[in-house]
Amino acid sequence: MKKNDLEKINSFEWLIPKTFSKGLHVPVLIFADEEIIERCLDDKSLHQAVNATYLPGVLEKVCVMPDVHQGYGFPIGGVAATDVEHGVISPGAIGYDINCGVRLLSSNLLLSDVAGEIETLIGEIYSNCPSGVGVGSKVALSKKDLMGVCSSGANWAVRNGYGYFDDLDFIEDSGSLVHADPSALSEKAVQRGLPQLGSLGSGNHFIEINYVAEIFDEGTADVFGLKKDCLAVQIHSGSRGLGHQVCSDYVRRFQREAPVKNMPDRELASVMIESSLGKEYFAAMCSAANYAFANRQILTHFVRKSFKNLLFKEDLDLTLRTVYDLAHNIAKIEEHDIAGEKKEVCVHRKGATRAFGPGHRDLPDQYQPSGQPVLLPGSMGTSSWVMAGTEEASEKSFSSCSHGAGRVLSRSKAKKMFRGESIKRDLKNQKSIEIKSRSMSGLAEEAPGAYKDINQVVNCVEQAGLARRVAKLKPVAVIKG
Amino acid sequence: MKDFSPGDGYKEVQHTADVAFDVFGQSLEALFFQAYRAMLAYVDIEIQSGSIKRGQMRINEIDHESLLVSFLEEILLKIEIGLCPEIEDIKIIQTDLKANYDIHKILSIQHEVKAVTFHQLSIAHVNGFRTRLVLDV
Repeated sequence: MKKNDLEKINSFEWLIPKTFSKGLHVPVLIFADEEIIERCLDDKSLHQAVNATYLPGVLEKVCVMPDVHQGYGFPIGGVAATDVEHGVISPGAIGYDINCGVRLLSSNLLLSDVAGEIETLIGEIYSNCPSGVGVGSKVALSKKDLMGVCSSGANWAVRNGYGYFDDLDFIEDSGSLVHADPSALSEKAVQRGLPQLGSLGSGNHFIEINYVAEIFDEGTADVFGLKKDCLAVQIHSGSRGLGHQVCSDYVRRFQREAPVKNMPDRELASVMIESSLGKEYFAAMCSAANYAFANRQILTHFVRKSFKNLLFKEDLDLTLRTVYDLAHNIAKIEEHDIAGEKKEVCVHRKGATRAFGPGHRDLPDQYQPSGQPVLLPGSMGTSSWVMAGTEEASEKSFSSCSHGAGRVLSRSKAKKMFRGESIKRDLKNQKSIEIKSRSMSGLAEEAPGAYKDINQVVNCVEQAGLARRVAKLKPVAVIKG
Repeated sequence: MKDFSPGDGYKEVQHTADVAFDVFGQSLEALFFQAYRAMLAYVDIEIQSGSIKRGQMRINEIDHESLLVSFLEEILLKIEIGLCPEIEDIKIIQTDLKANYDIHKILSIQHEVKAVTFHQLSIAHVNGFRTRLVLDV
């Protein structure tokens, strides 16, 4: 694909028209500046977005976020909505790590109150929150418990002592998707889920201690509980092996039991949402999403415990309040305006975050005036952003937004260019950021230089009207999975 | 399967988010073995010397691509519980696979593979066999 295949709508929106290739059902709308567009053309991300336009029942347009990069099947940073009655659901347009997502916790603790204790604090969290390849959970789970987790999500976790009922108000869908049915999980998925609940995982998953460095909208930041110079914590994890197995199982079953002809990529295997197999996958996907909500809830509990273990002093307020918990690999049934009419659609978001604007009925009362918090973590050692959803995003992107910075370098290139040990040392010496990781090569793969500049992504998001800036967070300590 | 011919091998290709290989084999069995080697090279494991037991896997699928995905997934499932199968031989008849292996305990592992994808997976049979293999990591 070349740049002149794209129509420039304005400085932050580009279109691949239906005329680009025969058989495209809808156009592709890309939110990006000129530089990001140039980079997109270096890999296969836009081709992958075009491939998704062949999905039966896809509606209006396939959207591409500014943090887009090449994935498998569908690009990371891709959004596609399909007709619930006459359209398909595709596991490859959701991803293997179902409900991979981010939770943000806020506090009233000033960085200056605990500055000397950050190294021991992150060490305490590291020992309480299992992380890295092959490292399982400390939570003993029976098969019956797992069924409860997959049915009730974060609600199960709270009922079993991991956190507070107030947390549930600030999780997408209260942390429990009602269409979940654990009987749709394979035995392999169950067996993989049992030893991993309450563990971070590896790759780009992380726990990060931040402080609020800058506030752009005092009123909204106040509603979100974000105060200048106070600590915040981000938790990025997903549904672990259970979610991976659900995706693997159903991609294979879809190909075997209901092959769709003329799709350009087998990874985009799909079935009609309303078919019995479609409903079964949706029930399994929701079960995996609930597992992920419970996983982040349990990790939150252990982060809180670590703060209390280490920082307990009578005059310190150690409350860590859940600001929001959102998914960025998921399919959701939502109501959107399609050709001027309200319609129930299945929004596939892969590496993209939901971004409901003010007044949306699915938001908690506190966030009705502001829109939902939208979390855009930066790469390790760089800033992260808290934004707020807009009404405009509902028209432009099925209420979706970027989920982070987005990679620019492959993992092998990153490993050739960076050394884990020097990244760790430089971040400590130059930016006073503590890093904990079991794998130095994993750290090299996640080097800040392997990602886009998060500030550029945030600028595109805001200029395109998908979300607005609320606060900027800076890291003080990071656990990399 | 420890010896392989000059036409067998794999090469990592650039992929922004995940890990991709071009894999070659003079026979279908050799292609599958090279895909297994490529995946193991990425996860970078250290095993305990001496196997703890022997095992066999039998898989039936709808085509060779699905067979390759299922074969590699079986390996991943064992790795996830701390065991590494050292493949001794692979036999493929149509879309049935039989493989014998020795199981070793894993001492350390550097990277996780979440899943084996179908993205760009298409086994071509021209002067041997080849395919692109993309792993979600």
